[in-house]
Amino acid sequence: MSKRKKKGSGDSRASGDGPRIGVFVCNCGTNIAGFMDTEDVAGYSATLPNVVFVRENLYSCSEAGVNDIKQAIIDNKLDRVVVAACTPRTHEPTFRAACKDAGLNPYHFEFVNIREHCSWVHKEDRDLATLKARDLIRMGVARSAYLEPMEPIIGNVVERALVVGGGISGMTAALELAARGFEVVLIERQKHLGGLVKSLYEIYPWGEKAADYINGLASRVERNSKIRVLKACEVTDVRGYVGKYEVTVSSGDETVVAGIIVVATGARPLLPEGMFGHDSRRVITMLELEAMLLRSRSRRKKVVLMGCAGARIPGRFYCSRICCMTAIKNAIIMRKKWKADVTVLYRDLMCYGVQNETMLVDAKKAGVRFINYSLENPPVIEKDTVTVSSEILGRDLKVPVDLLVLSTPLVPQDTNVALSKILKVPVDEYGFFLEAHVKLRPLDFATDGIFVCGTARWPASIRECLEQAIGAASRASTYLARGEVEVEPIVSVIDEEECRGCGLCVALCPYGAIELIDTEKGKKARTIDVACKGCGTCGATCYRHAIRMKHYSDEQLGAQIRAAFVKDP
Amino acid sequence: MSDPSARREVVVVGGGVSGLKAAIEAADQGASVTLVEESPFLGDLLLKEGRIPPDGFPSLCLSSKLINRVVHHPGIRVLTNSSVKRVSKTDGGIKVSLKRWPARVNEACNACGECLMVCPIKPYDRFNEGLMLRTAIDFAGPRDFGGIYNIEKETPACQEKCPVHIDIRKYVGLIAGGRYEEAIKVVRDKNPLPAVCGRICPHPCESVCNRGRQDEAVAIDALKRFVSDYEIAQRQAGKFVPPKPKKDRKIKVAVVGAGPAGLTVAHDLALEGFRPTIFEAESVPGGMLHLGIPEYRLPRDIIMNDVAYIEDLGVEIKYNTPLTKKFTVDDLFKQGYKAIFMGVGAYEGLKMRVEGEDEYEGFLDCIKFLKRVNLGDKSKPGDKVIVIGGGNSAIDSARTAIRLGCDEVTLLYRRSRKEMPANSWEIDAAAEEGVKIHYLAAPVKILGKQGKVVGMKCTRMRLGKLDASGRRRPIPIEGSEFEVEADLIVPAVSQRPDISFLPEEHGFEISRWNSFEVDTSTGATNRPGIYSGGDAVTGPATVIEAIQAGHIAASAMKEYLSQP
Repeated sequence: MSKRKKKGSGDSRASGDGPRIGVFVCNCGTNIAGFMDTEDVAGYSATLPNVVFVRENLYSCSEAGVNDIKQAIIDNKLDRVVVAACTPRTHEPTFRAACKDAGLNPYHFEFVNIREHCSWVHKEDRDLATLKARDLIRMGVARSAYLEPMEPIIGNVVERALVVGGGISGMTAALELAARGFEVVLIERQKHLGGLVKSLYEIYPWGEKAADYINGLASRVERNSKIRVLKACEVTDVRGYVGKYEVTVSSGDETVVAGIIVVATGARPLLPEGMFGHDSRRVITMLELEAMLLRSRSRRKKVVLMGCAGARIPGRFYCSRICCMTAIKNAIIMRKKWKADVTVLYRDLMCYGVQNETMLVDAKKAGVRFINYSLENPPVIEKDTVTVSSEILGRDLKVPVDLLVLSTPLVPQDTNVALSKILKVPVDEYGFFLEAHVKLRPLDFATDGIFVCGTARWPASIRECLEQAIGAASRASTYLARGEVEVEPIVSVIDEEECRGCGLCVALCPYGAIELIDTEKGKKARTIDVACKGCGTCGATCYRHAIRMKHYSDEQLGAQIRAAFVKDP
Repeated sequence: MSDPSARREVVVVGGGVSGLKAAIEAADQGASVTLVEESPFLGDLLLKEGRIPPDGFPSLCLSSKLINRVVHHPGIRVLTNSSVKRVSKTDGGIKVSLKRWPARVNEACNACGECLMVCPIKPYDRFNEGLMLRTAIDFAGPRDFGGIYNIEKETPACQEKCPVHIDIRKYVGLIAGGRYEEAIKVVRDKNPLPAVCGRICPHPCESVCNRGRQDEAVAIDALKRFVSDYEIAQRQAGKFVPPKPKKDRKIKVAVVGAGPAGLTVAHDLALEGFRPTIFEAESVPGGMLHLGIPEYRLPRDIIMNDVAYIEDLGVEIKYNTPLTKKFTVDDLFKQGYKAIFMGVGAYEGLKMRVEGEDEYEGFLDCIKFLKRVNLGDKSKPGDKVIVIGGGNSAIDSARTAIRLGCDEVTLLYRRSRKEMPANSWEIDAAAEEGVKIHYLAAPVKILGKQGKVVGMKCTRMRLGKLDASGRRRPIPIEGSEFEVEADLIVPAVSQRPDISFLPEEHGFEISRWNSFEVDTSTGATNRPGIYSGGDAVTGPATVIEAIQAGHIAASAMKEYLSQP
């Protein structure tokens, strides 16, 4: 490119009316300052071309730090701001907002990550970390000189929500959204609403009949005029973007248009095929016990409940969270209803929450025996006895048994992976859906306008499912209530003169954000701004170089790369 | 769809991570949110934790993101240092009353901490349940920030205690800086009788002065006296500039009685541009100041100075013009006065209710006695005088009697010195001058001969349990009677308003103590346009309380007269 020759190493703008760049080096308490010489880094930053202001801050993201940035922009007439701190994922919006408040275009802000990319990975070598931070900042400063002002893209939001999954979480989310006045389409794979809870007997810790609760909820959903329920129906394709998702469903290929999507597909209990001698008669799962209690037909006198059957083992490390409480609840029920001898075999008892702890005490009072076992010495299951090696007593105990109940963990639905591909949202290593941020955005997906709740995300109790459902509905309402959505303008721009309409970019775009349109000069590709995530796939693909990425232009990245290989003065 | 932005005022209580999240969520949904946090900073526990499990992410990264969003969100108003006082249901909503605590020191503060060392104001520490003191400026917050400095702003104890809430701290400070003219303006802002109060105010302000905990209270009253003396000197030197009242509203107002309450009302209304006229029964202004308080305590030229100030505002005082059965409030209305203030005081001495009280001659209640003397009759009232009572009037009577040349003056009080309502320095002075004071003594029977008083039989008392007034109830000790010779008995047991001037059909609501029944927040009597205050409402009380009542009535009268 011709520009490259003219610009040289990017410092030619130093003379005359070059940009006025301000650099802010964050100490992040000791997160950064503890592993490098931030003073040196700040001092070095001041020598970089076009840099007119440098400030070292203890916490740039604190209110004081942000105010400091604003003040510096105004006082020093800065037109580019470079913050060398942490990941853009947490604080880019913060600093952009600061720029905006000070009258600067928010896209004149450049984030240099000297924490995750530098101080945290070079904890051992202080000098190296300092040098690397210098490099990173030099690159950031070089790029910032080429930043262009941009305005956010505003899109409309269809005031309709799509809830995938008609279990307790999905129904609660749908009712919540309907109560806020939004239309809801609820899709359920089965022929009836209710999900996993429908096959339970009583709900801990209150001892409420699960059927009463879930049927009441289902009938409220069915009767709600704002909610349209599509049963025996699955999502087959999703196109579009936040504010306007076009969802194709399996029943008659109907298309549902919705502003947001709530994923509440739930989970299923692990079927212990071939494990522990499972035969659904004498050795059953907890869910089968619930069914047995529901039918209240058979009665057994010697019951053993075994926890962590298939959970917290190599290959499935996680705790299913709900099994201990379920086992205790059912132990009490069998003790009272069947007058059975109940023994609970456990590895660790997880009974968090006051009511659950009370339930544990009640179980002990009712005469339920609790025996601890370890992963190394699992119980040996025979026809009439279970031999367990007690961790506490240090010897084997033989427990007579005529019913062995296995607490198997909740595992992801088999359809999760397929659905995640349709929705373009991630799943974790086990196949549960993965939220955007474990703390800051626990119910959002990284993709705007798609939310997750209930056991689709992770094993959860009914109470937690309800909390998450209400929370997800609340999160979704933030989009629906505003009626419009602001999208980052970091999108691709297609030069229609250069475009030959080959359609390669259309085929490759993972977000369906490019369409081919007929013009007088033949077919041309065009970006759908709201849908584009700015990933750059199209730009890299286009052999005509007709596609330019906003905010990551060739000039900007070129300057950054050139700065990376400058010999240190 | 139903508009979800219809009910849209949300209060989030608590600025921790849940509160911040809730506020953002609600505001994102279009609500206007008020976030209330008790501490001076947002983030709460999240800020105090260094890192959060499970991955040990620095907590500040999370909280600062949330805090920044909250602080910069156009839909969120943040009230730190605030707490919820009351929550009540209203029509279709909830009303939340908040209390805002101290003010934050602005960003210029670099947290050097010097202020903490020199702060002289030590309020009780709320954090420690008020069991200890803190400094008015204090800091709180996460250690990494060095804390956020706040000033606990509260009304100074003296100002709060003063019935008219003079900004004492301000004028004392101005005096200390030698700015006397400004100081007297601050006093006059709330107190139209500074020279008088500078001498006879019981100064409750000094009793609560924080300096008193260290050594001795600031001499607030004496300082007031000093600046008022300064003003008098300026006046005499012809350098005094009277204040300018607001634009003349051409509305006539009548004030009955030139006592402290009446003078205050006239003063306030004159400043507001009304035309007050004071109708005074006696030939001198000041009411009890002149008639009740002996000259040695309150020189007459001092009263005249404060009255002259009020007259300078355009207030006319008509002396020797009492309201009578023939010259009533209705006549005042007929003369064109649009509102009336009844500041008639409490001039009727109460009886002791002792056997023989009505049989003999030789009684003179303290008010009549003091009035006679104060109006110029300096003759000796008797040789041996007994004064009964423990208030300032009793002491005044006793001291006056001594000064008139009475041979023996005895003062009887039924409780001990500790319970005596008179100013302690007055009691000391009385004893110094030769008044014989019998504490824990009460009259039993008046002794007389040939229709004249010759003495009094008394009994010793002891103190029992606390009574309704919070003082220990005196109980007679049987067999402890003793006799005191006397040819004049001055009961000074209390007074009540003398309302004998009112015609039969006056239409006022009168309490069983002969005082006017008024609305305490406005001073309004049951008759429209007629207000009252001071001793006429409360019974005998202090000058400063009468001034307070005057202010209250004057502002209500202004409101009343401003109505179209």
